[in-house]
Amino acid sequence: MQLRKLSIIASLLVAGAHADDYVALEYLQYNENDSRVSVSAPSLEINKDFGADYTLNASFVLDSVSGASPTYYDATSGASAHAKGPSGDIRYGNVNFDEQRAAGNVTLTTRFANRDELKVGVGYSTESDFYSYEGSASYMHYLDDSHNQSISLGGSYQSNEVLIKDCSYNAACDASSGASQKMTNDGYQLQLSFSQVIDTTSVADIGVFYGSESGYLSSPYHNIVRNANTVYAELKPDARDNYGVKLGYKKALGESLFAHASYKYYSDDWGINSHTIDTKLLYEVNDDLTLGGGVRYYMQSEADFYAKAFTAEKFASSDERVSDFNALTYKAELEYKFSDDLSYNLGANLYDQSTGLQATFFTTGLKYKF
Amino acid sequence: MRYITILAAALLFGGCVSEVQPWEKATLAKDGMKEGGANPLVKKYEEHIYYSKEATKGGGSIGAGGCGCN
Amino acid sequence: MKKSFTLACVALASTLFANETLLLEKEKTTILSFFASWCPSCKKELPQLAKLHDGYKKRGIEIIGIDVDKKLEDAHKFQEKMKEHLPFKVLNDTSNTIVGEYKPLGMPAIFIVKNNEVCATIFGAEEHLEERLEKELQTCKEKK
Repeated sequence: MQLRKLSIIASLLVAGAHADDYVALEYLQYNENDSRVSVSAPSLEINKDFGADYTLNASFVLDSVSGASPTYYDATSGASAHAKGPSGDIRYGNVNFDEQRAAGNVTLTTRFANRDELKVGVGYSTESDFYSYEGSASYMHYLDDSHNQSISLGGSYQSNEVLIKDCSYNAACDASSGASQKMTNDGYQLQLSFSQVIDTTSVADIGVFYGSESGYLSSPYHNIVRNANTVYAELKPDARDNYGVKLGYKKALGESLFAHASYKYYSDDWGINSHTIDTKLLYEVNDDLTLGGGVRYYMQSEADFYAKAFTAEKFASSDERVSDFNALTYKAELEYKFSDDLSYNLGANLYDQSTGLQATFFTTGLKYKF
Repeated sequence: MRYITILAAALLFGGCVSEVQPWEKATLAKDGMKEGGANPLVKKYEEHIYYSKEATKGGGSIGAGGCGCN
Repeated sequence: MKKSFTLACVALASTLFANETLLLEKEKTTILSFFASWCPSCKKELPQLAKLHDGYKKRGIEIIGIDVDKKLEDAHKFQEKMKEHLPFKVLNDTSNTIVGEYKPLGMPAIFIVKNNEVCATIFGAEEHLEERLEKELQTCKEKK
């Protein structure tokens, strides 16, 4: 399955938090078990201040995604492992694909006299069968003169196009069987957060978020089985509202040790609820070397329309992403500073889902401050 | 869930906050205290992977009281 | 925002608690620039101030930099790195006594002092520093 474009809000809220000018080159290598998905993704980021009041941040990524993703298919057709329709030999297994994705986004931060910040961003992502465009904005307002408290309101709007290459046995299609059809969906996300400096060594934040999307929200590559004899394309509902809350805390434990912890609760009207606990420890061994490690625990419940087999239900999906599962990520990282301006980073992660999916991903890169 | 949030906010912010002066923010300005760490691109990769493999969306964290020295 | 305090109080406090003493000449207009190694905007402001130094010196305006890093090692390392942008006198306020007296609302912080009184302040990064300083210096000049 393809990697879909991430909402720009996360990138808005990560970049531009400090005023250093830098260029960063980063590389991701992601591999799943059982010869499933493999991704190689180089990316580039530039962060530049223009005077005291403006910062421009731009990032670009090129994914090469290949491998296989499990779904049901008609094994008798022989022509394509995405084959649907009546079948005497239905299998659940890996279906090969190969995809390139290019994505980029640009964010402009404007600071005002009281140092409040307005961030405005635009982004895009393209693959052969998927196009995504996004616009976003957030405003951060300091509530006190010492800048210990701030409140932020952010929103993003995303518009996507998905190409269904083959409309056979696909209830979402209007086009005739075998033809292709362009589908669309769009949605928005809103976030309101409050950040508080607790003392000279710790800061906490709390936020609530809400989102809504509508249109074609299914995947043309995920299939289901009805009546144990026919393979169809999945059909998820054409609307989804979600909301949640997030808590975060960062603490310096002495001069060289930093602890991060966060909790997120999510719920949507597909029946999915999830909890995410993320922790990290960073240790500055000396002026040049920082080591880090952490654990992330995730659990979600299944969507109302998820099952392994169906009969006449309208909405139906066997996509593991909407099933109930939990997942653990074990993380390790290091950063080495060649000088005040040039640093190298390396990260290794093991992601283990109770669905049987296991993945390792490595990141490595250079960052140069100028 | 609502009550957990209210309790968490009270614990986080009620009664345990001290006024930190602008010149006392050396520790808060360190890379180790930044939301995305020293490398925001890595954080983006991670979020992207989880978004692709899990059903949850939304909830990127906002933190701006750390340094306040812009 | 205005503040007033006496030269004697500041000097006494500095002598008792700080590494170095801040002594201001009453009749002279002095620009105090508070900065630190961990403050990204300070790194941007210091070169701007350095460019104005010669012109101000000819006008009898003194610039004094005050480094509020708590560790002298950090202060020295930063000042060494920025040395081409520090043509003016710099004091190390490792005990934060001087900055504690002035209590800036942001970093970097500029205080314009004349006749033992603060007549203008600039807190946080300033997009057009030279113009803003000229405006504030004019305000100071017009004050009795």
